[in-house]
Amino acid sequence: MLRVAIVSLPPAYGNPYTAMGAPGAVTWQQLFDGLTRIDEAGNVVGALATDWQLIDTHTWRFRLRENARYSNGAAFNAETAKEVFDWLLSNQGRITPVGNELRGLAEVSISGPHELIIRTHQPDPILPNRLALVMMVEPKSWAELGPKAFGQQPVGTGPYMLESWRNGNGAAELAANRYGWRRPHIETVELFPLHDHAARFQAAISKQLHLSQSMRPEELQIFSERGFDALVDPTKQIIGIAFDVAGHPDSPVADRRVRQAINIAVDTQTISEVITYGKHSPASQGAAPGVFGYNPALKPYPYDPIRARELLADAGYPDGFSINATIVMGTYANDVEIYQKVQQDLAAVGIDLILEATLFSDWIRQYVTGKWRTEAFSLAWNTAPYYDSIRPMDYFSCGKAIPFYCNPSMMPAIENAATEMRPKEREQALQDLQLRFHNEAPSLYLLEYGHIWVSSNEVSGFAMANGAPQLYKLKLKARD
Amino acid sequence: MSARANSVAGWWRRIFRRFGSLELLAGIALFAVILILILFRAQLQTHDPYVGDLYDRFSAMGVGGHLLGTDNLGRDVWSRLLEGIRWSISAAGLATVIAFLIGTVVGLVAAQVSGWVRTLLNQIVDMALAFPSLIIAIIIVAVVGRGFWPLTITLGLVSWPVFARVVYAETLSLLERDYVAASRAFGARRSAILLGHVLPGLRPTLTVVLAFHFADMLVAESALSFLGLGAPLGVPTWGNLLQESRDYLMVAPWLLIVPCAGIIYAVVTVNLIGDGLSSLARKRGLRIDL
Amino acid sequence: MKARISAGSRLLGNFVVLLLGITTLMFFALRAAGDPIIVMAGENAGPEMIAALRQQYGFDQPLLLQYLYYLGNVLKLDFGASLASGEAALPLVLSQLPATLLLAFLGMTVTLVVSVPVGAWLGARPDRASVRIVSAIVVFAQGLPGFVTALILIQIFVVQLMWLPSLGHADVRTWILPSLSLASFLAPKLIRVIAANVAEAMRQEYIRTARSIGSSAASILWREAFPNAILGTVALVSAQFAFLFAGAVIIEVLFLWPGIGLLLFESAQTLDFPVLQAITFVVAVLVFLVNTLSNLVFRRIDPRIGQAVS
Repeated sequence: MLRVAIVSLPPAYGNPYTAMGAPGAVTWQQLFDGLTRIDEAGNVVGALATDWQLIDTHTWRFRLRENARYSNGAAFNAETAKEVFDWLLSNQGRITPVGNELRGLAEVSISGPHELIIRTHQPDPILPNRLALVMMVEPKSWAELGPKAFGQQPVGTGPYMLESWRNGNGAAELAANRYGWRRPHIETVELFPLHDHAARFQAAISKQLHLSQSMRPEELQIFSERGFDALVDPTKQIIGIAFDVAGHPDSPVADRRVRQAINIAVDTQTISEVITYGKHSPASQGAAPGVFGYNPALKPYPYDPIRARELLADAGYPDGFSINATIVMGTYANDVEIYQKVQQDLAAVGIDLILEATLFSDWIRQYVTGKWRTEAFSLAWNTAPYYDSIRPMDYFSCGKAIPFYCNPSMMPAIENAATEMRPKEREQALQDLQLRFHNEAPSLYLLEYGHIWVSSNEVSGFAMANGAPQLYKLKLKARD
Repeated sequence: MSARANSVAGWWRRIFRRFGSLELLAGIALFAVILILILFRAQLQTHDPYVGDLYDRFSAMGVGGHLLGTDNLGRDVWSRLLEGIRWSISAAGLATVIAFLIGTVVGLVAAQVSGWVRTLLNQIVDMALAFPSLIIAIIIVAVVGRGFWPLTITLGLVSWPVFARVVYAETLSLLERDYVAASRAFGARRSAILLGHVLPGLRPTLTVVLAFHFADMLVAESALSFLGLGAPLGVPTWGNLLQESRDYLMVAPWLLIVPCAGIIYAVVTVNLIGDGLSSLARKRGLRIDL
Repeated sequence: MKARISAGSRLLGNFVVLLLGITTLMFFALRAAGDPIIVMAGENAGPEMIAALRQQYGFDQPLLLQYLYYLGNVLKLDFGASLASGEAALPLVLSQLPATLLLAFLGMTVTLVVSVPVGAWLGARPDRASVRIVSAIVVFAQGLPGFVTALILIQIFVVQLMWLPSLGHADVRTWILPSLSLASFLAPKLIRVIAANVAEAMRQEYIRTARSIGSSAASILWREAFPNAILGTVALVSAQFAFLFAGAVIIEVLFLWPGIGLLLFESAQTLDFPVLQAITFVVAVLVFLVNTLSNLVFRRIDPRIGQAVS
């Protein structure tokens, strides 16, 4: 029995269309597969699809894996795949977060028992990446039970299937999927949703768990003394504080010089070294190395409080100013510390940053409606799990439904990068955009962040892909 | 004994008689220390409580000029403790006052009326008791945000039923007393009974309940911080200090010990005062039904 | 008999009014606290998607209409389905209730087992030195917030000594630390209340009389002092029941105890209205039951007070 502590189970249980990525991805990736998968190195590889080609700029052909079966024995093939896509494109499916992500799909048709043709409205160079997060549910059960009931008893092709969402220990219990096309080494898994960090730490360090999500850098010393290994999730996000330029056009942050000044007033190098013990490097742009479109020529803003003051004076704020930022605590380990250090650094150049910590439900309401009470808010450049830097540009621009930063002069370049199918040209376009975003500084670029997982010395083979642990690869070491 | 020693002993004896008990004296003395710390906060703080040197983080107690060590951001714990006293004590104090005012009024009225008004008031008290305090806290934070007043009001709103019930039961009991019946028989008006018998009769119980309630509020503030609904981020209330320290228990245990010691100190003080008041009342021949 | 029936029906009537009042208050208060539709729609949602979701869940109706519809369902004991998972709200809450009741029972048991003897001992001889020391310890314990006690207990018994688990719910060993932590919320105060009541009772005239005719201290305690002490205890526990529940939320979150406190915490994150409403309802029923029980106990012990309070 493998025991894993995670931050939370998906609120909708086994309905994988209710969110893109965290927190549900960690659980869903054990139960389901997409057509594709992003591997440890960030490459898009096949999962339920074996390979794919571009037929023309709007059309892709995907060859599907034969002999893949769902956990109820039903076969996976082109027909079942098409049923799933059709649902996601239907009126009901379109209003789910995953269905919304696929709104660029025009039509999915079958060209063979294990072959799909997918046509898009616009050229979509990252369609294979997108499909990595579109979990293939078993369409008959889905249709029979409906999404909510299906969530209680999910059926997928993943290495594990669900036994119970809350067993006697309050954990979700998974068992090996005997029809799965990947056999796990460990037969059963318990996923403990421990929201509280200190409780998670205590459970991990006392060896009640084999694996634990989201530990803090200062704990790693204690963990290694007790024989644990640590792994930083390679799928990184760039954490930072974004500015509501569109909603507060008269505030200081509407001025680019002020935003740049904020970037150079904060000592990200010290934050990285001292708070994260070097585990998370300072960010230079809205993407981390390894992400497609990352511009290697860019360096993080240098730490220069004197120059910051000059910039502020140029912009007309020689005595500084006061702004508020809405933040959510606990999304990233040490985020509270990091924001408070930012506060201190800004105070040293005359900027009084007031941190308003609030609940996620309050944050997302302001984010989606675009009505921010504050001039700034916590937001990450989330290239995970696509490993492509175009994605956060969707919302750091006029492309967001109700934008917080809208610079019309950048839109042509963004739209071009979003539809350019030739890899080299696309990479160049994205790198140019990273440079422009760097200079525009619509956010304070802080760190390249990935969750830290710890594994006890009782397991071996721990690896991550797609932002989720690959539990099926783990082996329990024999006890001596 | 010399005359001088006699007068000193006499002096003590007078104080003792005035205060009625050692506990009360001790409690007031301890509370005086808290007051001094609050009043002379600025002089006593050795560092800025909001700014720290990252390279100094997790210093143990006594290291590098930090009396009680530093926290995860290198901020001086002693200075933060002093800064937080004001917040915590005043939030707990004002919350107690709010709860006291609402609860006492409701309890008094409920005990004196009859019929459906009394039933209604009891209903309201029960409803307030049954409403999960977590929800109240969430609603207040969502509507008003976090700050000193939201915190204080949340604490007060969550706890006033305690006063209401005590005052209600106690008032009823007082009104049943023989001497009250006798006064009524002699034609005394309700307001006279209220002022002359009920309020004085409530005083011993209420003073004790007030003291203990204050201690409860101090602890409740830390519970709110645990749930992420307490004082704003960065404000070093004892509840926030406790909550922040949980992640560093094995790395820097003094971060937990210090605010804990502070809360316990305050609670002990308040309990001594409460105990002292109740034994004082007892000595003066009054009963206290808790 | 007639009086009993009418008293009973009055009680029931009160109960119904109370529940209606709370569910109404909850309905409107929750909607002031936030918007669960946006949480469900996710970060990338646009206005059309949100509008469509709102329509799907009936949130686009006028508020009063929603309320009436909701009220009608509540009268049928239908609290709708969880917005997140689709499970029926009230059955979900009821399925997790046993764990909380178990925790409460264990916590109360530990509390009573510790508080009654210690409280009685403290109250019987208030002036000895040993008593003062124990008294000091009790006050000390009162100042320790509950989650700190839990933290320390876990640190000692789980992390350092590795004697007990902090996770899980299945076997008896997992029950020990949660019940100790919950007991730490209530025991110190209860000890003091019992001690105060016992001390008070010991001072009464009838004790002196009983003593003078030769009854032993123990029998005096048992027959005369305890009923009064119990009165105070019951009053305290019933008044503190709501606090106990709040404390249980923290304990359940820390120990991953699958009760309604944990459910409350989780549902509050996503603003899952139906589940939050169902929880409030169930807690209200519990509080009412506890109050009624305590009133009954009052009446048995001291008929005068019982009559006045009910």
